[in-house]
Amino acid sequence: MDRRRIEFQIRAVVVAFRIEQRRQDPPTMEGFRARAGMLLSELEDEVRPYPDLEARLQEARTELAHAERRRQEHDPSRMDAAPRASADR
Amino acid sequence: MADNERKSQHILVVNDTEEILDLFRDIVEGLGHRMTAWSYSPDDLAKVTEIQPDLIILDLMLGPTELQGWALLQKLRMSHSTESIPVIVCTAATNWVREQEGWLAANAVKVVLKPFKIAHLEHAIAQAIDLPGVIASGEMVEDESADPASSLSEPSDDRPAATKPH
Repeated sequence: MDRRRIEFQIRAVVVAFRIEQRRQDPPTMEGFRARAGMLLSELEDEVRPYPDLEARLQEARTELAHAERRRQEHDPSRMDAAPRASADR
Repeated sequence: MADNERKSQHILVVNDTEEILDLFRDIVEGLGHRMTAWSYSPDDLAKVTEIQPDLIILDLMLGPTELQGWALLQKLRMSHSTESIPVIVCTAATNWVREQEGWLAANAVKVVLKPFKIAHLEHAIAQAIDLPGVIASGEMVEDESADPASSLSEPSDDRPAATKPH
């Protein structure tokens, strides 16, 4: 994949992800997050020759990971998971 | 037909997010086509026929009620002046697309699910422009990383499009 297409691909994932985050439609986001993560993972080898794109890819993955963490923190179905985890420590 | 031999076409992209319109402009113009961007759904289809697009790419979720894209799509297909314009729906509304699967197929609407692979979108555009009749069967473009729970067929190789059975 050439540089221009890698750049487009990162943008396509990140921009769409931000929009869907704003819409906050959980059923849509569930599959969306997984696909977005996989598409970004596929770029890992492709970005190696381009340090700036490598950095952008890392930023994109971090953004997705933070969003996922926030979602888990606010997911009521996981409320009882946290106390158990801390009790194990 | 080789990419460099393909005639430049006029593509209308309807999406209410500026960043998406910017991305599409880069992709579409990178393919050598001309793009008109609308951040709203037109009330009057005459505006569409006025600019005579060769292809329309729209999101289903559009506007304050988030259903304007879907309403526009239905209007486009109900009007004699626009019914034959190839349409690609580019959306993340997976469930909605599945619910409307029959209608979309019957109305020759191609679907590219977000997040999409650039190659898949480019392929869908090329197919819609070069072979508009081919998409009359209705197709959904879904990448290999698509929802594993999906019952739709997925490409087994790097070919971007999968034709659903009727």
